[in-house]
Amino acid sequence: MKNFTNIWLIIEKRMRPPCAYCWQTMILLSLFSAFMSWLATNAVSQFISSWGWIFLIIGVSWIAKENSWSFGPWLTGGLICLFIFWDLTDNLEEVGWVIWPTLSAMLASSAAFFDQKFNFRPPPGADRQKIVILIGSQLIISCWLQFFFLTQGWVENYPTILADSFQRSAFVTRVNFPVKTLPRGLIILDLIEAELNKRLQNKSWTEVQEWLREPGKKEQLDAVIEEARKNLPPSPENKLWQIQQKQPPFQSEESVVFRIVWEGPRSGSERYYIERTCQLSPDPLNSDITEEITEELTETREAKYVNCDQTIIKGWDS
Amino acid sequence: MPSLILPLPTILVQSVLLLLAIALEGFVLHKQLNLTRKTSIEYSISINLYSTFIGWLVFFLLPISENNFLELNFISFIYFNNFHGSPGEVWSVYQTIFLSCVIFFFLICLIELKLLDLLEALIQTSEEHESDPEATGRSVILKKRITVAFLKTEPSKVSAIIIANGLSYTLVLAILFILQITE
Repeated sequence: MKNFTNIWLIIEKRMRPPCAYCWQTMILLSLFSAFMSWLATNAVSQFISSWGWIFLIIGVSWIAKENSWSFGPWLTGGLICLFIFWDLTDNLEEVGWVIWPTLSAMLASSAAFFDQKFNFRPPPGADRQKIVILIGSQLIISCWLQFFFLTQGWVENYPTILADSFQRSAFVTRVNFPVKTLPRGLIILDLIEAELNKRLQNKSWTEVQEWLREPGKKEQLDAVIEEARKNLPPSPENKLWQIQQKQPPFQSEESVVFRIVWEGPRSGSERYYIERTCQLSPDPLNSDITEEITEELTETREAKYVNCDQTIIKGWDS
Repeated sequence: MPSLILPLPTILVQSVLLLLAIALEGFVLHKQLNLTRKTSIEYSISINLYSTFIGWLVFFLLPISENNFLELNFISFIYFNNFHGSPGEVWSVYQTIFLSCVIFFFLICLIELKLLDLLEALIQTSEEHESDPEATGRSVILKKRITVAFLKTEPSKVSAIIIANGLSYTLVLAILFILQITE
């Protein structure tokens, strides 16, 4: 309890404004605004919190100036970016990050553009070269940040590249990524399997056999693939997956093989594909042999003929 | 957070290459233009930083997301160090890269030349400007100097920049080639 009072006393001593015109006033004003905006609602709250941010930015830059922190402009610049791109418009975080270094460099060099009486003037000769180099270096850092967001956007658009190895990349590296990512194409196979199940669930085993008879089988399965493609969550990488039907290795009508081929960027030169073999067999509870039971069961249980337990992933293992 | 992919190799390699290019070009500027060591290095740092920035800008302004072939090739190159498409297409990609390297070299030379002129105009404060007390008069002179810098070119600077860039370009390409081979 005594410690607590001590801490409070230190804070109070530090925060009590020694005069009306100093940074403590600004910080207290921003705290007050934050509290008030918490009490207020909607537009008023937004308005007050904006003022809170402005007081905070002024206060923090003041502290930095008073203690002559060299990273002060980056702190102020960061706060300004947070205020503009996170508080006011919350979907432009990337832009905020990207302009942060450049904005900070401009803030850092802005002092040289004014004389003692706050009149605008070209900076003194000795400062010019420093300003040019400072802003140039921060522009490059902004470019690196932009490049980071660009690569991040590609990963979001083409998630399957995450399943591959970046060993050979000269530009990017993966940091602390212990979980093995599976190619996104697996969900296509899941959708195909679900669609196949859906189409067959109300059929009897004889009808299923009829459905699988040769000339019609290909068209039927193409329709299944078509339907699965429609149900696929939209993503730019969808068009890079090629879905094929493959002839089962043994000439059996009761099995179907789907192969999806990744046509997108990959580290190896060989073909990358995932293959799933589905075995169709009479459902023990819903076959022709137990037709009497089936009639009772159709309402409560759907037949399950499809058994896809074999999935081969080729290419991403490296 | 599903994944964290950082462009650390890009930052590292670019920093090293920039340092090498700055040192080399600073040396050439020092020899060719009779500048002091300090000034030539400062000029070299500035022109290299800004030309790199312009290079990045050109890359960001490419219509990558609109052109699928371009986008897939950039992804292939950046993530897997190869190119996307049939052998014929890859060949055309190599041709494009070679051509853009050549164009880029002359573009960078031109940019660095103008940057150097501009830099001199900005930084140079000769005696008569120093003695001029009027701030407004000074900025008028600065504006005039900047316009002159854009319009006029000294032949000695052209040769200095071309030699400097030719050397640093060769060095950078050699290093990238060695990096590519040793992988």
